[in-house]
Amino acid sequence: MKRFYTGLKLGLQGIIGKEMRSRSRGWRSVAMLTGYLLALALGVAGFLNMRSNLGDAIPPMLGVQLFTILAVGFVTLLALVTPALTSGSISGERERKTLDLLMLTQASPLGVILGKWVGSVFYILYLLAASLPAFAVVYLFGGVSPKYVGMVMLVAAVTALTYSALGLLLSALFKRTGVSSLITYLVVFVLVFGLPFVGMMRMSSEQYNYGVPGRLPAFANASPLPAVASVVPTGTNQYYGGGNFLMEMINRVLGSMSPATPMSVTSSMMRVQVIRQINQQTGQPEFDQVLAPWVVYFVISGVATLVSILWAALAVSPVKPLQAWRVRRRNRRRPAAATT
Amino acid sequence: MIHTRGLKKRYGKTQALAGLNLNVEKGAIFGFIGQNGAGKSTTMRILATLMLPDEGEAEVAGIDVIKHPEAVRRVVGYMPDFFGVYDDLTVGEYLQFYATLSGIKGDKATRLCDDLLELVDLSRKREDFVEGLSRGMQQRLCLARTLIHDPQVLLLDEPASGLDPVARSEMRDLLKELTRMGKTILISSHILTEMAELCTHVGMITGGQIVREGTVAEVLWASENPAWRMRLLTDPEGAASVLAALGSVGDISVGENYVQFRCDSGAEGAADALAAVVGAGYKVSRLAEVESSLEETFVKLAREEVKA
Repeated sequence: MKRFYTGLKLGLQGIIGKEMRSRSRGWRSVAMLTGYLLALALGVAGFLNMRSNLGDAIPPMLGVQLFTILAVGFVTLLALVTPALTSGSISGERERKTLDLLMLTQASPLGVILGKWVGSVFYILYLLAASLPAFAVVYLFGGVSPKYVGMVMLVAAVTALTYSALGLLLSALFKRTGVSSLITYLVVFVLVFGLPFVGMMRMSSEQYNYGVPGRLPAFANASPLPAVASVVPTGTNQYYGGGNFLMEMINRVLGSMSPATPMSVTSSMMRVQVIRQINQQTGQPEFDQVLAPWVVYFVISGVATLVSILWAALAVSPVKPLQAWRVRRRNRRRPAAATT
Repeated sequence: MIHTRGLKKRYGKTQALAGLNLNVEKGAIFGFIGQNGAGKSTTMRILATLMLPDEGEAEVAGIDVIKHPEAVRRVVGYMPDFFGVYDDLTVGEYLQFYATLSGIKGDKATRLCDDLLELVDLSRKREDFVEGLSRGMQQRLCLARTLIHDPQVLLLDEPASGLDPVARSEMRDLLKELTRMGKTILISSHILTEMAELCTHVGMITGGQIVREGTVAEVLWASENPAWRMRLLTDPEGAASVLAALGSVGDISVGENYVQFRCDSGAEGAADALAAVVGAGYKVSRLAEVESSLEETFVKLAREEVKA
């Protein structure tokens, strides 16, 4: 146990320090931060410009709309940026031929992986803090409680932690950074956009079959989009609509999923009854009816992060326990003469 | 200090190690000699706990590398044939990084890094970025990294590859200094003349097995069928034709005033050859065994392996 703790501690101490130092040098981090903030700023400016083209009057819910758009864009952007921070972490060490040297130290493979992960998490926290001013624009128009900002930040942080762990795992599994980056982004696109898209298709088919809006299937909650949609102030969907797929999707998700949707208790209960009937007919489980999407997302993300980190540690470990056991078993079976 | 028994390792269809038995005594500089793909690096990686064998046992300083890899890492310093460095770190930061990972902190780490940089003659480069160092300097820095946790055993895979003669000479002096400090060194290299000069023991590996092992003198002495050189006062060509007529003599070459040849029956055959040449009326001034070098012995062994 002491050896486990020491290996973990040394890995964290050594790697975090080195990662922070490396990230604070060179143009890459600066470029990433600049690009990230530019994208956020352009999003805000674009939205304000679009609204101002519709008329001089400022709608009362503009702040909420802006916040919703900003929150979804912010989380999506983070989901796309964070894998870039880790998808080359281990494969880069392998390509540079420094991974073996790390494995020879007293730091354990889990310590090294955790060190890499925490190092990237610190940088992500830096990105999160840097994006707070963008949210301040919302307060020009009002209508958004700070708790919503906090919840969006929480979803963003969970997204960043999970996707960086995922990038780390794929970086440990694939030898080349190019391949691991490509696979990471394929997985990220499927998780972020693919799952909600398929979920929406299913919802539409349920609406077509049963005449009432269905619910987003549980698997779609592995995407951060339903989670972020469930933590923004709602009741705003009346302002959305018209052509834009993302807007339409947010509208649908907000309208059908959010626990904060301003439905009356009666209508909520009626909806649950309808969903139960649909579930019975389609054979779907009911457990996620009572859990808000962001709760399901946090649970899925927690498990995915834990599995990713442990798996990555096993992948980089030069002496795999099962392999070592096999060698020892083979040695025991060898004739005694061969060992002398 | 290092013992392996029946070490086997296979990469797909290629048998890298075929029951390798190796013994390296404490304080020795053991030269690992073999062709590319003979199994040198695989053996070193197994001893460094970077790889598991398919079968067989290996111990370093009495610790089983399969059962207790973490304990082995505390006593082993490994320098791979190809290694990378972190370009964005300075020389001092690079060593400090590995010191932290080895559990050495604070003033002790700073002092240790200073001492190691002094040992490898890189003190004046402390604040330089690693990417700016020459290949030889990077090799020396990597050796300093290898020594950071004061290991008893050093596994050095081609530490002099790619170095110019001056850098090679510096590396050789450094290794001698390390043996004076009591380290046991297992080193592989293709520069056999330097290995003969540096090593106390050598092991020749072909086909994943040690085919010859011992002190340098023992390995050379064990070389079968040595060449003989016969000095003549006149007409070496004539003497060569006499030798050619003998069935037991072969591999004849003629120099300015000598004939060189090999005999199937060793010293006895050489005595017979001498008698035949003298009997034919040629004046022989000297007959001596040609001292073979480690390189010649190795090349001969490698050729025998190819024939086999």
